[in-house]
Amino acid sequence: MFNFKYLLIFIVLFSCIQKKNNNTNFKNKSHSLQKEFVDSLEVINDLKDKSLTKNNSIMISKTSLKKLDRLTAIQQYGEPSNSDVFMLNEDQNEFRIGLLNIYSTSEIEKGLIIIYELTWEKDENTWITVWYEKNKDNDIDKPVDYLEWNKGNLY
Amino acid sequence: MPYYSKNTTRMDLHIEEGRNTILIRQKWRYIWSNASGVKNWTGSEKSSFHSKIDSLVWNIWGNEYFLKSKGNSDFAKRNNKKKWDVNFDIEWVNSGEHWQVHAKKVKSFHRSYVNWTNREIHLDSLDNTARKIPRGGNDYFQTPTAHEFGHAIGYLHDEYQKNSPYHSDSASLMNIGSELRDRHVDYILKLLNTMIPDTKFSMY
Repeated sequence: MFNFKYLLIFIVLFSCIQKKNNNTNFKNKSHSLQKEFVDSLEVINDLKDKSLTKNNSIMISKTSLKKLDRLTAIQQYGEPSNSDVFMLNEDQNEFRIGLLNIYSTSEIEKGLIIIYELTWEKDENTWITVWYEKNKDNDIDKPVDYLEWNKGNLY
Repeated sequence: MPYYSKNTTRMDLHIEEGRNTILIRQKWRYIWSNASGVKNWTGSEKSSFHSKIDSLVWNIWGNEYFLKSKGNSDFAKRNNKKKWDVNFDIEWVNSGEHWQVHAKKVKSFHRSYVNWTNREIHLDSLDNTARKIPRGGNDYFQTPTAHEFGHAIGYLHDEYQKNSPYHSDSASLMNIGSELRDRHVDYILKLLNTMIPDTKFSMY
């Protein structure tokens, strides 16, 4: 009789513990799913903020590009439509003339400044070109000049 | 002597048979502005700016292209030994323009450009002065106004672009230099060849 009583108590206690464990697992699972969902929502909202073009590429803005180094900009906006690299003391054509306002003549003439020129398509009518100065110490090439321009412009 | 004219939205073409001359005339209407911290254009600065442009275009582009005319027309037969001289002229107008020219008075460098579709030219007060452009150990010189004018007469290509077939021709005016090439007036020839039936103009 005594044994049976203890057995009954054990069964009740065990079932309660099981239920609690199940609840905890569900809660954990639920919490993890919720986090995933929130993360996804954030990604979607982020994409919405940047607004999607017809071909699903993220619309580029000059403001956001100004804050990004070269490799981060490529990671974020994909490979540019056009790219070039040049020494600043060479090939200062009309399109690149803004750079001559950024560096002094003596800095340019030393021939040590390397510039990356990357152009992304903003939309069907517009290009955005960003010029980055190559950093000799690491890969963080900072933007130095920007231009948002109509595709019909000839410089 | 007969006189042939063709008026287009971007330029007028005149064939003056008596003078063996082909005149390309553009009417420019200026929109004057100044960069921040720069004083407004004065009347004499405006006049001087336009005169320099007119004279640069006349001197750099004019008397450099010589054409011949062939074909079965009376005109072609009459002029089959003639050497046509091509000249360029810019007229400052207040209305009825071919081009709206945005002229900005500046202290620092500004990008100048032409938008063919919108018939807009953007120039600045430094554009009438030749600029040195080094490339590959050589120094080339170019006056931006002369380069931009090349676009305004239908050369819709910047030869300094890396992917241009003429990128290596650094001395060309539509690249970073100051020399004219026959290809720079392809559009003018195309227009001329629509003016007189059975008459074809080509380089002399």
